[in-house]
Amino acid sequence: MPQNPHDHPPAPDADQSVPLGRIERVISGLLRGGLLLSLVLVTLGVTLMYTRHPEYVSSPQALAHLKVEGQNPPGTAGKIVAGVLAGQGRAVVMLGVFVLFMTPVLRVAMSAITFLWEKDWIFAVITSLVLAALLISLVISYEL
Amino acid sequence: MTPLEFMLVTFAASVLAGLVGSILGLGGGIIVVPTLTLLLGVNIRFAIGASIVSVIATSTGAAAAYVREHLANMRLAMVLELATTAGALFGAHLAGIIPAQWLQRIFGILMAYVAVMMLVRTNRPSRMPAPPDPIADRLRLHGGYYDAWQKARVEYRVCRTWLGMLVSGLAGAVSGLLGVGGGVLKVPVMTLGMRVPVKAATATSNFMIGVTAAASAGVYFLRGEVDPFIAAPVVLGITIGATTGSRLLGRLHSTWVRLMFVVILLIVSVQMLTKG
Repeated sequence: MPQNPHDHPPAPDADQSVPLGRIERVISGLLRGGLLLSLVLVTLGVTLMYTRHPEYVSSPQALAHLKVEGQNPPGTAGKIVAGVLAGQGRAVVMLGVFVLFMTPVLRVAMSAITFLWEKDWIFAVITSLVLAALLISLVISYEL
Repeated sequence: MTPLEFMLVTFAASVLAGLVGSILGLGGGIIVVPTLTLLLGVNIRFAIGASIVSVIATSTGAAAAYVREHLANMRLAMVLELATTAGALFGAHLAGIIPAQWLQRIFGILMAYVAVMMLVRTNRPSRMPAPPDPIADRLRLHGGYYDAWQKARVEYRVCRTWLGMLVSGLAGAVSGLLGVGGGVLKVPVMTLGMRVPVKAATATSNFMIGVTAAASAGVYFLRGEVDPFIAAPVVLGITIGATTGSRLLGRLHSTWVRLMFVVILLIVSVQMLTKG
């Protein structure tokens, strides 16, 4: 039980008793890296959106497509790449979202590799199966 | 409403969603979706696309911190992830067999029951000794973390791994049909069934939900249901909320975390029952 709940809590990294293992370092580093890259791209994209379209501050026109049920432009890889090369803010935002979406998949792949490296065979198999299931569902979704 | 105002409102809702989601091990869709549909009049398809973005952002933002603090039990997460992703693969075929309406009723009642059980156990933890679990021993699933509120290390032994896998598999199978993320089912089974402390359970759930959502993210992306006007403020807002929430969780009293979770469970339960 706590002695006094009004005491200042210690820093969150006060747990010095258990050092971080390789797998923890790899995974938290990967998650941070993926999130940071995504944030940079999204921020850059938003900046581009507003500098290229000053009317976003005054006119509601650009949001009209969000209110209706209709055909939306699919977010294909080719379109996003073309948009990014053309300096379109919205495409840069979508690239950032794509990086974010890929981060958990990469996390599973990196865990499988790290478990293999550490000769933790059971967990190497478990994470490989998770990766396989993920890739299968991505392929299925692509064909839908 | 101009895009600027729209994005600011979405951003504010996302900060809140990230905060609540990271503490409770949920995706934050429960806040993002109603804000977009009811308040901003956005079509539901874009709102669900936004909810997928919010789940992955919450998970990624919070999990990095939880892994470093040992609050997320990674080995347990990976075992349950296997059950969830396998369940999700079968769940795609389930849609034609069981009517969604029945599933919603069943899960509405189930969640109300789970909410009551979590409430009952809040002040009266089970006196029964945890049954031995050879699977958890073999896979080394037991864990421990430093609790910043108790200012002490908390060690726990995981039991009933089979039950956790069963429920996670079920969560994976029905999440697509019910539009409910796995956290709502996984946190209760970890705390009530597997005897994982509630904070470790929500942190572990946070670690997992990103993977479950990533499995279906491709569909929404390709259908064009992820829109930059919504996704940008969601990513930025959720990151701020989830980073703050992940720093708070360790310092919160477990009872508060439980009670907040019970409230969310009851809301979801009522939603399910009215829909079904």
